[in-house]
Amino acid sequence: MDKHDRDEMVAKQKAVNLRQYLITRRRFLRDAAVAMGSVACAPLLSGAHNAFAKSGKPLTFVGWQYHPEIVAENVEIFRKLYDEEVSYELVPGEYHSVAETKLIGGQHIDMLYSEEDHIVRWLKAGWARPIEDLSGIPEIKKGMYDVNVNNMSLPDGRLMGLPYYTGFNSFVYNDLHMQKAGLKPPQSWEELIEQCRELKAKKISEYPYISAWAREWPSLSWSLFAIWYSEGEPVFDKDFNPTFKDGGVAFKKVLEMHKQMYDEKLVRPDIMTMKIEGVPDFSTGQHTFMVVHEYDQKVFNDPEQSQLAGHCKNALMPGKTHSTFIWTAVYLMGAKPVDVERAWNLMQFFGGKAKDGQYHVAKKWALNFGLGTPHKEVINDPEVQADFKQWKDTEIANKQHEIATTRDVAKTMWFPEWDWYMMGQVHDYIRGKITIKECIDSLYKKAVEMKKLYPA
Amino acid sequence: MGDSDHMRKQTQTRVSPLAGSKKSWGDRWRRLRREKGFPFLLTLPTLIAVLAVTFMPFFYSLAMSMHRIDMLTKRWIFVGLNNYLQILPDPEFLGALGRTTYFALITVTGGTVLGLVMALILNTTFHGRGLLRSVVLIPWAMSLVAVGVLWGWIYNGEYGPLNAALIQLGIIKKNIYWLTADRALNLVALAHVWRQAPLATLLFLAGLQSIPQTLYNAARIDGATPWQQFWRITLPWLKPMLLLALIISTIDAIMAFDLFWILTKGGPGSATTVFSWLGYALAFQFFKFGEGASVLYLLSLMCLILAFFYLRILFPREKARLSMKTESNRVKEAMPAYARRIDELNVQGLAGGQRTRSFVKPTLRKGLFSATTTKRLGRIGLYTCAILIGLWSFLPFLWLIIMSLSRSVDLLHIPPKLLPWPLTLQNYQHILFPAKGLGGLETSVQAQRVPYSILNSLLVAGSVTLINLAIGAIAGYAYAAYQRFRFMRTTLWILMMTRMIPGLAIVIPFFILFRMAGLLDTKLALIISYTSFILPLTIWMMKGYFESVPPSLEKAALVDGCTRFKALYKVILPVARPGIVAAGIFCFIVAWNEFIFALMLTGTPKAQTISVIISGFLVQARFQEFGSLFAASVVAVLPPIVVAFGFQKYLIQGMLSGSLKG
Repeated sequence: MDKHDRDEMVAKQKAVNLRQYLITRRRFLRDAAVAMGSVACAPLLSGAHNAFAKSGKPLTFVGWQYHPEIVAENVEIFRKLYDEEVSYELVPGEYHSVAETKLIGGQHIDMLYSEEDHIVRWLKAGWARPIEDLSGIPEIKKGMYDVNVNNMSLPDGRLMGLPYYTGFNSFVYNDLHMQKAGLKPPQSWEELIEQCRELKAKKISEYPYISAWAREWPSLSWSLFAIWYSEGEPVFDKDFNPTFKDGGVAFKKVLEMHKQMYDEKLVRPDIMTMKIEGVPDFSTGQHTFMVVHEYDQKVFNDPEQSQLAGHCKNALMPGKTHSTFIWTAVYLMGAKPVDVERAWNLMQFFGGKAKDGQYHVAKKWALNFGLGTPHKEVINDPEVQADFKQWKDTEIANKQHEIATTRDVAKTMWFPEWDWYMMGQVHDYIRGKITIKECIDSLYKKAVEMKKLYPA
Repeated sequence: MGDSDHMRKQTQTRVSPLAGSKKSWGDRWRRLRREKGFPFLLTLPTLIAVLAVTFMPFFYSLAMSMHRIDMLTKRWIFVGLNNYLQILPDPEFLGALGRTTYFALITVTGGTVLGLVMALILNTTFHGRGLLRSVVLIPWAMSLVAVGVLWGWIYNGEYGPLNAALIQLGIIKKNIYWLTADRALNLVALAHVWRQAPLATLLFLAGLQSIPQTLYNAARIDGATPWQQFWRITLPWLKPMLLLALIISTIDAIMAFDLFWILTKGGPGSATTVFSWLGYALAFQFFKFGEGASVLYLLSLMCLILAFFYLRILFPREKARLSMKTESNRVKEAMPAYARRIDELNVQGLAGGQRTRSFVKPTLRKGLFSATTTKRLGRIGLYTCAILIGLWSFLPFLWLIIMSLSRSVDLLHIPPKLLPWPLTLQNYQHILFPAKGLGGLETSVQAQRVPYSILNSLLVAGSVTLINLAIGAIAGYAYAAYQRFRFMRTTLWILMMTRMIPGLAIVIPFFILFRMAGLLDTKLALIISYTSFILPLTIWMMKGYFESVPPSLEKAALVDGCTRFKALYKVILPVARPGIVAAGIFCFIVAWNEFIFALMLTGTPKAQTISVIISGFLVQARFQEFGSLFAASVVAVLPPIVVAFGFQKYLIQGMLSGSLKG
């Protein structure tokens, strides 16, 4: 799409918006007269409304707040390519909570974003359906990395969705600091602590290590799991039983390492309330090491947004296995789409290859925002490779992707509750409110209790 | 005989037939219709508007709190009060209870005292008072999301402006990392007080307008010091507004959620896990709706207990009124509220020039300074206070303006700068003239939606304000003038209790209700729901104000041949203009900034309001979008501030002066 087309599209959209607005205003004035009555008679009116909702409808698509201007542009391309109507709803706030509230309230959705940890939950609730039975699935699976297919599948192997993007927690460092101190990227977490002490002693960085430690969904938990996996700690076995009762392979060690960094002031005192996953804080150029979502390296190397632009490098995660935590966000199909074929077209356009043979969406995310994709064809695209090389070492990134670990336990119904509890307990341990034994015992007990409460 | 004694006699004479000689049922019915029909008619629209909308959600969510619910499998298992009983001994709950109590204590005390001080200053005449009255409202006019992001930025230990200011002033030498476990709760409380104190100011300012100047004149003649005037005239007169301010600020403190959500997420650990956060986590993170609802309803219970506690402290006689056991109580009950107030003042010896046991005429002392010097020092003190109030209210907002004029990268400067440089209008360009974007990209959808969302907010907040004033003001009058009727007292508290239901507890039934009515994603849904939340408070505000309007005004109008409606329209409402203006500003700002229901009930730009759009910048948008967020926050503050500035001239004292003869 050239600039002229885009300008025209924006102008049309503005005209539509204005028209909609004026129509809505008139409608609002009209409706105001019957406002109270209609709510009081709500149950009576519901039948009529449902009857209206049955005839030919646009596809409904609900997504979270990540560059929705690009999503809206993609919706427009889909409309033209398939001669379709799509109603795109953007959910601000905490996406999964808000989306679930709307779904519980009975909202109809044909396609929606989801993290992998909600796919089983939404299937069981009757809000989403597997797509294993739809056309072309074997070929689609073949074109993606196995680790991501696993991410997007149910425990019984059926595919639930197509990929929105994939990401993993990456280890990045401030090259300026490392050069100044004459250091090379650490191979183990013990070495990292030694380097942090050295950087602090030499006054190169007062708080050399930083990561997302806040008690929220993509922060402390993701950071911890990445480090546990890097040390070969599974945390949960394949039957989702906790493996850390007696300290696990490295469960205890990783927690102790976090406390040690906090106690020795190798991390900031306010790290547990740091916002936006610490991205602006690392962008100040004051810190040396960070475990962070891979695509944020593009932000760190962008002179418009970062003081350390051009000097943020990636390395393999320190640790025994050098693995990390990988996830795949997906497009799910609503349990009762207005039309399965139309909804499948929409899903394939967004989560895969469109009918014109192009990966319109995945490629755009990769080029504009550095988002990874499970589609090998897109990753190997020379244009994408050339762009990625501008802000990361693609060889290291590809290797990290290959050895990354999926968090399968997240597909259980109880994991979000355990996860939230875990972050609180770990905070309390790091702050010195409880001992390591109390912390591990409570986490083990909670996991066992949760598993009993929500049997598979 | 004092004015009030005379009035009491009159009232007794008027009331005595009510005590009841034998009458036929027909007579009783006619009397009932005549006596109670009018107030009932005045309150009917309000009762319908509030109860029709909140009835179903309230019972639905109450039922939820008595069930163990699996929303995914749609199974409801009745457990009675077990959800409540299980929560009570839980250490996590008890910890949250302690933190909530502490948070409420410091924010209610801080907000009320600060609000009162600001109102007293703003009630004094000085140059720039009109502007300062609007500036003071800025924090309250800001979206809570924007307040959270702003204070999060201010507290940042590396690039935050608080450190920058303290370092440049030489107060500290090294950065302080503010939001640590031991400080976090107090710092959230500080941000909360900053945002909430203007509401108390508005309420007190409205209350101050109704104090007759003659009382102060009399007190001054009697030689009362300003301090004595404050304790013996101002504070007693402000009791209704103080009660309302305490109730509202307590509800807001106990239900506080958004600031915790943005600033700390309940952490570190459980250091800032308060009730509302616990309820939210249970209901919306783990989807334990039953347990979550029970936690949230315990919040309501706390609010209710505290409301009655305030009532007892401030109005000991109200307790007796509620019981309605004795004849003397009935007589007192029938006295117009203002007459009781005058009576109280008489007892203290400040009305009508009488001196009594409790008021000792101060000895006139010769001051240290001459009268001119004292006056001059007073003016200096006044302007110093005015400047401090202005700085307190405006400095954080000024930082928001600066951030809205900065590029993201310049905000991350180390050491932090108070004035990042260069400044740019790019962020405003994004939101006001969409489609020219950053780095070759189109302006984000969120930014494009800002102008429309502001129009939506104007329509919604404007409509809610008009409806509230239209039906809330007359209902407020009815509740003030006819509080002797049990029906009025009961319904007044029922209305207030609807305000104590946590929004998070009823958001799901609201969603279902509006979906059934086909009103989802419409501005109408927002207008209806906001009206139902705000009306009870509007009524309380107006009731508080009308209690200071002498009933003799209405009587005079009736004698002159007015109907009751005409008397209300032509006489009562015009003198209550300051109260109406304050209530209007209150309604507009609350409706303007409401977030949770707007988030749930709307989905597309045709109905989304500015608070939803602003919050949309926050999640997943990354900090590079914060420029647009800051610019949108600044723009979003302007309409309520313009409204407040336009109407503040009506917040003038003395509208009732001269009418207080009884």
